[in-house]
Amino acid sequence: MNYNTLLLTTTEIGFQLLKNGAETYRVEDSVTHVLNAYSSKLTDINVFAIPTCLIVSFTTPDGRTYTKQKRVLNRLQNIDRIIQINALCRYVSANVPSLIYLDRELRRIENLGRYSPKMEILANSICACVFSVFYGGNVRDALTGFLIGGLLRFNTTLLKKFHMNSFTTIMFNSFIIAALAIFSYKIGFAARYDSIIIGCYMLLVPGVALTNAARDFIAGDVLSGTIRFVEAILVATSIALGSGLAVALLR
Amino acid sequence: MIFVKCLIIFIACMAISVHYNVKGNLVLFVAIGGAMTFFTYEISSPLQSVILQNFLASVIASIYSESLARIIKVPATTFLIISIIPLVPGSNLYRSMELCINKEIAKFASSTLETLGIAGAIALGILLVSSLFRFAYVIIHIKPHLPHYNRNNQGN
Repeated sequence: MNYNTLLLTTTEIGFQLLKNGAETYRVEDSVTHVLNAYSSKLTDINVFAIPTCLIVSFTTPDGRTYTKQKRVLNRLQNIDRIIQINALCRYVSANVPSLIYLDRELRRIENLGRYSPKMEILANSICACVFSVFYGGNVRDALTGFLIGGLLRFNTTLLKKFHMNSFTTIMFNSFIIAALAIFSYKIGFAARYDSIIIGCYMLLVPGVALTNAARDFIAGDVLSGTIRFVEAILVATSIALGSGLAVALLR
Repeated sequence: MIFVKCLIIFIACMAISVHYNVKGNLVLFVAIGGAMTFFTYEISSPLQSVILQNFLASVIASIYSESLARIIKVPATTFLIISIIPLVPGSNLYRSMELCINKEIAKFASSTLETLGIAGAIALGILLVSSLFRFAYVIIHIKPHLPHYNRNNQGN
């Protein structure tokens, strides 16, 4: 058994899970299970994960200790990938295929596509449009929401090219939402700007961070839970600051 | 009116699942979860407390997600993340921000506290149900686990 390859592959599994927004206990459990499946003689298996870092360490039967640490720098939310890797881990625990197969499968999952950009823009637009109606807007407000929602997607992609951090991106996005909504109200197209702003907020709100924070707390990962909870509060503050600036200046 | 709103939430959840890259049949399940959560929120309005309503809706969303996760073997977060979306206090956040700009500090403070309270209620609902499910899971699986545990201890 090549322990180095085992270490690299299992760390990659944990890294992919963490990067795509899985909860901490899922990352730790999956890596431990895979390590146990490949070699029952390993002792002292320790997997430590927080949202920004992953450490995997184990001791081989001949007394050597292997450790690998990996930083997770840009996280995103890709549920499809979590599902695929979770299924792969279940398969590996039951069937124990060769490490080469495992590596190949991981590559395949990494290259699985997302929805096409057009589809994502359309979905964002529909979401903003529908939520504008939900919060009391009329047809014209919905149309404004539709346009702003699509534009938001462009803006996020653009800011990513400048390596802007996520809080600044969100602040910028929410500024644009509020500014455009108020502009549309001022020229007399939209009937009210608050329903448009709240509708578009729904594309930015930290629902994932909140859900994952709660689930981390249950599993006993207090540190990860705290990190995610603070993240949720920071995101909410950035949203309020960005749109607050626009409302205060332009209203 | 409730059903129209549920339909709106259903469409919105389908749209937002593209944002999180949920694929295939799961989009439908996720959207049903969102609509169900909102339905619970609306029919519990006689309780006269936004925080209680959010708590109940979040409990229903978690029960739906956890049981579906065990039936079709998909992580529970898939359903939970998007089912929770109709509850996330976006409108409260906006009201707080507006009150802050209008310099109504007392109202701003109470509105912010309410926003935090709603977030806490949602988290508490998830916490309660998930830990109950975990508890049930341990009870069901206690027999296969026990011999393994003892065997390991005898070695030491």
